[in-house]
Amino acid sequence: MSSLNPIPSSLLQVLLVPAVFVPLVYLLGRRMGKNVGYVALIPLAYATALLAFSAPSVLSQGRVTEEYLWAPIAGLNFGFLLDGISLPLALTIVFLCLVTTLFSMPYIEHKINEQGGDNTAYSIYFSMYLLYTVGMVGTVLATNLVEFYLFYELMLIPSWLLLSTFGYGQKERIGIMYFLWTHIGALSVLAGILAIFPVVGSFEIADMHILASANPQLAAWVSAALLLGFLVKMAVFGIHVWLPYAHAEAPTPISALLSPAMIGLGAYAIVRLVITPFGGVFNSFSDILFIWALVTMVYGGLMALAQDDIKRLLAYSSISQMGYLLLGLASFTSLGISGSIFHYVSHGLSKCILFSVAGIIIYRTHGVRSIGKLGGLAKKMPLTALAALIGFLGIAGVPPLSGFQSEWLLFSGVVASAMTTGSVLRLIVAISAIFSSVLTAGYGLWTVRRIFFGPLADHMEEAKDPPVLMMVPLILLMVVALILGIYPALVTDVLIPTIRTVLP
Amino acid sequence: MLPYAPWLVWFLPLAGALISIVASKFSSKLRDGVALAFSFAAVVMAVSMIPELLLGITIHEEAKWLPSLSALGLSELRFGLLVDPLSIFMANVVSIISFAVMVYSIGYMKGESGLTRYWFLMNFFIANMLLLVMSDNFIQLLIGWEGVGLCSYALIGFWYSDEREHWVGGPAPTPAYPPSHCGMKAFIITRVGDAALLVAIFIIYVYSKTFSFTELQGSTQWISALGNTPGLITLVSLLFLGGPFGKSAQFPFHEWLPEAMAGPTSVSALIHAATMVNAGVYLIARVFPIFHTAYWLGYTEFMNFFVVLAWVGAFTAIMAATQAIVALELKKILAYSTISQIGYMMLALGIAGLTAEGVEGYVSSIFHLLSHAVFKASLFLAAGAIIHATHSIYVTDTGGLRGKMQKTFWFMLITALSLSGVPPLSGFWSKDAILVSAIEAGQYGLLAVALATSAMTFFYTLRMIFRTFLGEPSLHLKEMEREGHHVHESPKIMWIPYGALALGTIVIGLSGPFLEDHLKDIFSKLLVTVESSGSIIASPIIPPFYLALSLSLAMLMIGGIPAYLLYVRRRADSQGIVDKNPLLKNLSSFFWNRWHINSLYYRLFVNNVIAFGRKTYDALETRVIDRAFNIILPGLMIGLYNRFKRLQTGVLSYNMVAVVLALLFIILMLMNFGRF
Repeated sequence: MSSLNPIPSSLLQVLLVPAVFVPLVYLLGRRMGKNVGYVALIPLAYATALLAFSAPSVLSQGRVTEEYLWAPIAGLNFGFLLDGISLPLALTIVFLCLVTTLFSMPYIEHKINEQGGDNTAYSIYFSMYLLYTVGMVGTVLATNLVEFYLFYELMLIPSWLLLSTFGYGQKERIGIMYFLWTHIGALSVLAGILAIFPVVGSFEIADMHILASANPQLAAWVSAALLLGFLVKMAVFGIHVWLPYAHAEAPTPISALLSPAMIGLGAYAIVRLVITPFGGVFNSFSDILFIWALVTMVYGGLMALAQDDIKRLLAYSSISQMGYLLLGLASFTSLGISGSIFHYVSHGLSKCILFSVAGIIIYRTHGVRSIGKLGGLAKKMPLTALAALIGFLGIAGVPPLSGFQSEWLLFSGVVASAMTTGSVLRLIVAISAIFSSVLTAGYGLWTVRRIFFGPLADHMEEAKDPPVLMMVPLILLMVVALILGIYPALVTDVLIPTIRTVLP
Repeated sequence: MLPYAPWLVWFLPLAGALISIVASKFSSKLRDGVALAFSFAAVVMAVSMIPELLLGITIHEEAKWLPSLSALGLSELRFGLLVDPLSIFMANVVSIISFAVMVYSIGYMKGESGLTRYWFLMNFFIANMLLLVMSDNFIQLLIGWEGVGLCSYALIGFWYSDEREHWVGGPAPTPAYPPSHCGMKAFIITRVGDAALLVAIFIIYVYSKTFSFTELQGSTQWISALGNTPGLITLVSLLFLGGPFGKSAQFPFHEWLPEAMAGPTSVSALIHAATMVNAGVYLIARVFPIFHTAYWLGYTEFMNFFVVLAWVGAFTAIMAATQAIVALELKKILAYSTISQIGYMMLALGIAGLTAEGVEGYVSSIFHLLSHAVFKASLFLAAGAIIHATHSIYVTDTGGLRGKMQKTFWFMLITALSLSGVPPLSGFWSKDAILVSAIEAGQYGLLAVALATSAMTFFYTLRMIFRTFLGEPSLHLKEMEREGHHVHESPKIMWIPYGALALGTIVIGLSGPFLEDHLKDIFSKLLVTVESSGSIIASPIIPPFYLALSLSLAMLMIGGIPAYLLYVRRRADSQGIVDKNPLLKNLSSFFWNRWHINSLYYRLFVNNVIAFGRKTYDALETRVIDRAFNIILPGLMIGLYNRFKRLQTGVLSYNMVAVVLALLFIILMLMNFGRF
């Protein structure tokens, strides 16, 4: 056990404490009902604090690692790694989960009352919610492939349950669709993982690079399998069909986590499991990924323009944003990859704001999701309007929000990749991508205008800003987005030096 | 310079923006006071830097911001402020005019709701604009740049409920647009230009590894690296211009500015006339020394930068002027005139780049920026007073206001004459300086366009003044009188700001030649003069100054006399002349329809994009992709399952047969294996 942290086993605690709370929350929930949400807050707040306190160690030592004996026969250890890449992501995830818990409490009460559920419903919601968090954070911290795969699938099961229990519309059918797609993607990942083991003889992520020299051809196939799996998770163009359904029909707080935090993990996994060990192979895919990313950006944006359902619009917007992340990765430059990871954070904050706004609108207008039936709400719910504007400006990369900082890093990396390789194709893609960010501003501001500006729509006289519990998360998210936008070094100081070591 | 002035000059209005929100919880008077006080603080800070301006001192202050870039072999990105003549000059223009507008707002915005938002945005705007001009690197500049864009968006759409009285455009069948639409239009169009600018900045970054202006200026290595790829400098030049053209409403990004008039008039004065729209001119002036030096060092591709700059400026100047001639909305006349006048500034910078000396055209552009900011802010504020008094945005609804709004009439007349370039007002000197630089550079084509624009400017300005203040009151005004609404002069708090600015245009005018020489002295230190290897042009027969003077006086005649005859003597009805002559009629409708550019943009970039999105959603997303995965694939699976399920009969004898067959199969397989 090599812990360099002032708090012993802090990474283990980040996972274990919420995990222990899962059954606890379930049992307590049957007595406490909706108030069990406050209990669920405890482990999340604790985990957030632990990760935040680890930041100085990561900054000074580059990484914090912990290792525990797990299955000695297979030589497997349960390891955790917190470095410049996983820290911003893990922190974003626990932070989003933390604030969304607050948001969930009034929201899910409303939803459960609508569905006619009892206390058990609260038990299920909040315990699954915690388990889902554990899955996501675990994926980011895992140091070996078995562990990675376990956590990767662990995020699926609770989110599927939450979606098909508390969702909207044909929630059961969509739950299955979500499950199958994600699972098929995961199987592709599993195939890649299993192909690595016989050659490398180890499941350690740090050993994966051996394959690249031992069997380059296999490495190419493995990279392709892993990429495919992760791209399903990111829902890039062509394999995105599940996302608008799942994200639109999931209970809104869960959409707020699914959409930015979970699918973005595909990008993280590409950095960790493909770019780091098989950089050269990945680079040979770059041209295809460049085009694929651009198509995803534009297609997602266009589809967002065509939507009338707020949540579906946001879902397509997420697809478009995943195009940004992929473009940054495909640039295969330190700037571009750092930009991608940073943009995961920015997009996470913004999209969480936006889904929360959608949730507030649903909550306050008794379930109206159609933009055509909304209008002029800024007068009735000014704070919500402000949040929506900041959310959309965040993904459009407008300063002083963090989206600006991440997008310029990302795009400067993309342009650098075009210029240094001298590839005209990449230059054209880079220019088109930067211009297509206008589309993001376009659908964003248009949506804000249709929902919040103009004359007040019919039957909206009673709409008003949400209760404090739902507003606090929005304010926290906006403040963080603003702070990172003004002082981006909070992220880049740990991120960029780590990314630099990843690339050859 | 006061201590920390470069920091406080933008930070104080920023703080003021936030504090005014807090103050609004106590009383609205306190909030207004706080907002004013902090914008005045910015003036104090800016003015305190004037000694440095006069001495031509450059001060560079930096703080840690994004140090980790150095790990990538790139230059560390610092938060830096550059105090040099250009930034001090701009900071003063911005802060002083802003303060005048803030004072005016107290009167103009009285009784409006959402004032806390208004004050926040105004101060936030001032802070961003000052940050923009003080920045020492592109990234930080872009923060201010987008920040002012954001404030502009929010302030154009200030009346976001889109009540009919706040729409601009019309009368029918010409489309009218609601404020929230206009704000969005402004934001999106400028964003397109910004995207181009970003690409250019990133390409420069790849080669120079820095965003800092001083570092870019300090080395020519990156320029030679850039020059190694033919065409790259041209690409960078053209893309770079996108940003300034967007922000400064130059062709082809000019279509947002007319609609920006949907905001309160104080906003139009501050953002869409006097300050933000100058940001593009400022940015070009900021990088001018870099590109200019590179061009005259032999990187001839940079010529494209200056040629495009000059010609787009000239084209925009004349195009916008033609639209101002036929415009019917008071604020729109001024808006078109703003586009046109900024065209002059761009033109001057372009000419400056094409001459080895450079300083002549550069200073004329900066000088025109100053005089334009002063007279245009005043004109807009006065226009706001008129709109307030007459409850109409159209000049056709005014007339005969002279007697009722004496002060406004005189102030507006002075500033309008300054705009037209009548001596000895400030506009005369600065416009003349541009003409002189065109003559000296031998750019006669550009000169001709500038002169033609100048004649049109005088025509539309006089038309505006005459139609508003002279003649008979319109039907609209008569009706208002009948209903008991009397037109009266604006309150003190409103006329003092625009009166002071009108006085400013006289003072600058009277000190014109002296000021220009002084500016030349200061800015010649900023520009690196490159020895020109070309032959020296023979000294002209007429000194350029006198040539420019006589030409521009002639242009005033050409523009002024018809306007006088038509609108003062009323020798003929202008509408009648236009209706009778088919050529004039077509031209007038072409100008009125904004050269059909606006409608073209709506068709191409709004309607078509949305329709394309919807069609793709329908055809590709729903009918192909979704169908493939959610209908066809499950269908296939169900088909397969239906076939296979027939095997599951549940009859024992069938099952036994199957078991026997399977056993046989396995045995055969095993026997075969044995053979190999």
